[in-house]
Amino acid sequence: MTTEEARETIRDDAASFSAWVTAAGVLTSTEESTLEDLLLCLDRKGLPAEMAATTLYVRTKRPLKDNSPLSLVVDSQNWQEYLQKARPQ
Amino acid sequence: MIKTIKQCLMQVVLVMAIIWGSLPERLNAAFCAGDPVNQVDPLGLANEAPTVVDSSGLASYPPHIEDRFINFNVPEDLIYYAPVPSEAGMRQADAHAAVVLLGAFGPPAALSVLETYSAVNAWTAMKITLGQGRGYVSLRWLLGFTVVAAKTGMNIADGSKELIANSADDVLLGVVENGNVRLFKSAAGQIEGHSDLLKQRLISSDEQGFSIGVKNGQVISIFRRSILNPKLTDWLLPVEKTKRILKELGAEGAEIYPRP
Repeated sequence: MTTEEARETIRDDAASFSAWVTAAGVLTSTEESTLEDLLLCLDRKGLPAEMAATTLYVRTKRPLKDNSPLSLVVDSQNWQEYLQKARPQ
Repeated sequence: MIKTIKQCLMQVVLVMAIIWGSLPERLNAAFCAGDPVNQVDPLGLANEAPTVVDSSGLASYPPHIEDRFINFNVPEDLIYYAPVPSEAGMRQADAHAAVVLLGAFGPPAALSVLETYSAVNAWTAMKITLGQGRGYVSLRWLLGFTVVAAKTGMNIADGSKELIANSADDVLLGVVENGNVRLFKSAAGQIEGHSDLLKQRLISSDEQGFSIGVKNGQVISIFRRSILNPKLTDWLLPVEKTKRILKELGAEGAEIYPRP
């Protein structure tokens, strides 16, 4: 799956869960993907959201609360607010 | 006769060295802490990586480390814990077999006792006693052994291969610990990610995660990224480990994400 196909798939509400996972896998593996692409992965919940969250932590250097996997922020709204605050004025 | 056997064993180890020896393996904890006798990492190897195992099973280090080896005076009967990465999934019997195999070449003559075998801080410890004057050679051998051990195979849990065979178009959640690989089928609304497996206490946070895409019973992709990997660089399962899993699953042609 190309990056462009992954973008289309993650936006496709009718796509299967496994298609979303593959799309998220592609988008979290390339620097061509945008923050918006990753936020859309968060909206798909589950594994696509988990993959996107770890990528967002790496890209933004957002500090982790602790090393517990369950403390990761996977909520799209939370990330949008964080990114807005982190954006240079 | 003995000479012939020794030559055969030498060839086996040489092949092992060629296959595995060129692959770097970091020794993150060269010696396990908590041993009342041993100093922790007296040779300062914790951040060094033996990258080569020669034909007699010895690890090769950069010259400055070699100097440390040579100048390090190992007292008689000092007890060391050999760092065998637990992810190698070696069972005690395997370790014994490897010791016997590599021990045929002489250097580990100082390896007098193989006493215990237990999990310590994610490392499987192998307790040995080094004899006086042979510590330098024995340590090198021992660390060479750990490099070889780290390259041994994975165990795929019962039922996992059947899970793959019976999947038409699915994502399977994978976890690996101590060389044991387990797979779980994801299901909308029930188990959609590794966090759900954690919440349902089906796995522990000590395990490392990955996921695989399956189509028509074939593994077509593997994703190295998982929330279970906060201690790994960029949350990614190492490439070498990923490849070993694919090999065990008979899916060496699967696409790896991110690509190595």
